[in-house]
Amino acid sequence: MPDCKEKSILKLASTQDVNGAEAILLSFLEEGVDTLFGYPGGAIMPFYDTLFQNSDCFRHILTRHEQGAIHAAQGYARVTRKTGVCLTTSGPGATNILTGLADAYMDSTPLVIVTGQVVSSLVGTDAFQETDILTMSMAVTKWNAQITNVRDIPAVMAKAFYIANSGRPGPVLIDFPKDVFSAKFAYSYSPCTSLKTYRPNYHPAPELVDKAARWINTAQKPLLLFGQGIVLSKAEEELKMFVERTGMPAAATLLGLSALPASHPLYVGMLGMHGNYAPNLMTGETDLVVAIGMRFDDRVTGKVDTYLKQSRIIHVDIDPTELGKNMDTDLEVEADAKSFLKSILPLLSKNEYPEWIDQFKAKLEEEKKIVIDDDVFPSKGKIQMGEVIRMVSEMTSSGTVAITDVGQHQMKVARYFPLDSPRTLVTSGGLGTMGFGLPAAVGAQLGKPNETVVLFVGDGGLQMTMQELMTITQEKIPVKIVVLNNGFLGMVRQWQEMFFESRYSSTPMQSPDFVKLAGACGVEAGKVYQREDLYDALKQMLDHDGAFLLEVMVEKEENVFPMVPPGAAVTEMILGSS
Amino acid sequence: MVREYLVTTLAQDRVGLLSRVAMVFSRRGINIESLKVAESAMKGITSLSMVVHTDSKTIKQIIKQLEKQVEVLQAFAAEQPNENIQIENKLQYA
Ligand SMILES: Cc1ncc(C[n+]2csc(CCOP(=O)(O)OP(=O)(O)O)c2C)c(N)n1
Repeated sequence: MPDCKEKSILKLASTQDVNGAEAILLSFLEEGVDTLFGYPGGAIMPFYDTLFQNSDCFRHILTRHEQGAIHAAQGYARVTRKTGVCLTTSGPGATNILTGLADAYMDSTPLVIVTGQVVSSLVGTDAFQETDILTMSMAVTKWNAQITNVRDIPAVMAKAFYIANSGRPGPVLIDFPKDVFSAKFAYSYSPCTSLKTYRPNYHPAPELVDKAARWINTAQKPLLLFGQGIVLSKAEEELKMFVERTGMPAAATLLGLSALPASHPLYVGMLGMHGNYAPNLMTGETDLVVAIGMRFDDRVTGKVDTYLKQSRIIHVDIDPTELGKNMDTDLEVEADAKSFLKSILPLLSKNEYPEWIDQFKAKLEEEKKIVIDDDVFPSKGKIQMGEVIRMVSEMTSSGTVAITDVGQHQMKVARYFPLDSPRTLVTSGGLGTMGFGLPAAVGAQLGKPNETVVLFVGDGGLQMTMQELMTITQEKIPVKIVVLNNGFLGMVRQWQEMFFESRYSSTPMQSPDFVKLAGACGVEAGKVYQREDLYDALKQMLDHDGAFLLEVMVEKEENVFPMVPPGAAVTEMILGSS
Repeated sequence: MVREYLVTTLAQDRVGLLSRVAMVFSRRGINIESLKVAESAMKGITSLSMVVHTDSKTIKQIIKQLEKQVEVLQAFAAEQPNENIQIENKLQYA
């Protein structure tokens, strides 16, 4: 934003009083925010008017639904590691972001949300478009507050940004009664760097680090499980050093993907229900698990009473509520992943476990033979999701950002789109929010304007937020959209096939003509039915200058394997249905 | 095993504090059987005391969840003393 400094309200604020809306914009500038996602309405109109007058300093993305705005802010935050900012009006505007808040809370995504509220004198009277968003959002925000006095804005905004993006990050919502936007006061800002009652503990206790190092140095079959904590603390380099020094095999959770290059020789794949065979099975053989920045989600542990029973467990997380919540472990270390890795590195002895690693390789071979080869190199039948995903990954460079929606295609992307650079996967993990993908892709592309952003989305999920195609056109966002159309709510259909005797209750789904729909929204589009046309179609999409939607008609009743059946131990993972 | 606990939470007072604290219990299906909110001896810090019935693993998690709330300075739980222990103590002093 080159002209921003010149005309900036920053200047204004040093000479005269500003109003509440200006103070919010000033706090954005102080916090380095220049991209906003939102949707106007009555209660927040004074803010939008001020934004209009300062449009040289900010890029505001008008989505087509507030859910789109918050998911876009999430996509932006996830790829940049900055705080995403989202604005909505009161009442329905505010309630429309609840799903995004829940998603961001689960997946530790730093967001600051500004909601408009009815004027102070009407708060609590069921006024037009009033909703008690503070109470409603309490369970899905890290912190929230309502401004009652314009003078509180700088301190509260500073606190909001600090809380959102420190410790375990998360969403913070600040509610502004309409009159606050226009009230004037003398502005001054100081960033928040600590709070009396909120003190995230970044540094691990030295005696715990010593103990962890001793255990690691003497383990026979150690296994590293890493999660998004690595990405959030920007510890990718330290993780690599840790793995290379200790020689231990490393497995990722869904949100940990991309923290260690998939091509790294010690990377052994993804954990969990549809993860890789080897790391899941080997949790039954390991004698020491080092779990860093992950939370033993039930999709990772399977039946928890049998998980890692024979193993010692070291659990490192910045959020103490995660320690001992899902799993009783042998060493709980409250620390930020980066800090932990930095302090333990000098204490580790150089090790290698060739035989132990060979066991993983053998299991990978089995998985390849029975599942992967047919998924990504099928020679007959309809197009398979896996081959589309593999092809896109082969046709794009390593900085390419993959976005997914939720369902079968999501698991296939996690499995078959190898990620070699940090923060190149954006997916809804903890909440599994269908409709997340398209708006998240918008935000991710804005966060990484020079990278190719490819969204993989199901026919079901696309229909949840497809109105954002219009945002893509209006804002000229060059995302590539691959619709993997199987005519079903695929993941639910798979469960019906496996556990409900193929009673396909409400899962067959008709779709609009996506090519025409994209066309009507000004997005170039194509459709492909046959394997022999796939490469050219993908090439056309990737070469196109601007947004492109490619609908790929895939096998209708394809399943995702391997799978840990619900309620089973992860060591009972199956490679197929027979 | 379910026991009676007295949970004390020291927190910076502000609108919505009680809701956030109550939420930690309600989302785990735990009823707050009695509640006392009072100013503490420390300026600006409120003390909330709650009596609940739950097991020791859950109470540990609840304490951490309470402390995770931005306004909360500290939370701790005391277990209702077991009668046998009381008897032992009495014997000691006898
Ligand atoms: C908002 C929301 N509603 C319902 C679900 C349950 N659900 C999980 S996967 C899935 C099917 C997704 O179908 P589609 O988008 O076509 O993707 P596919 O599984 O076929 O790849 C459903 C309905 C969900 N995750 N999110």
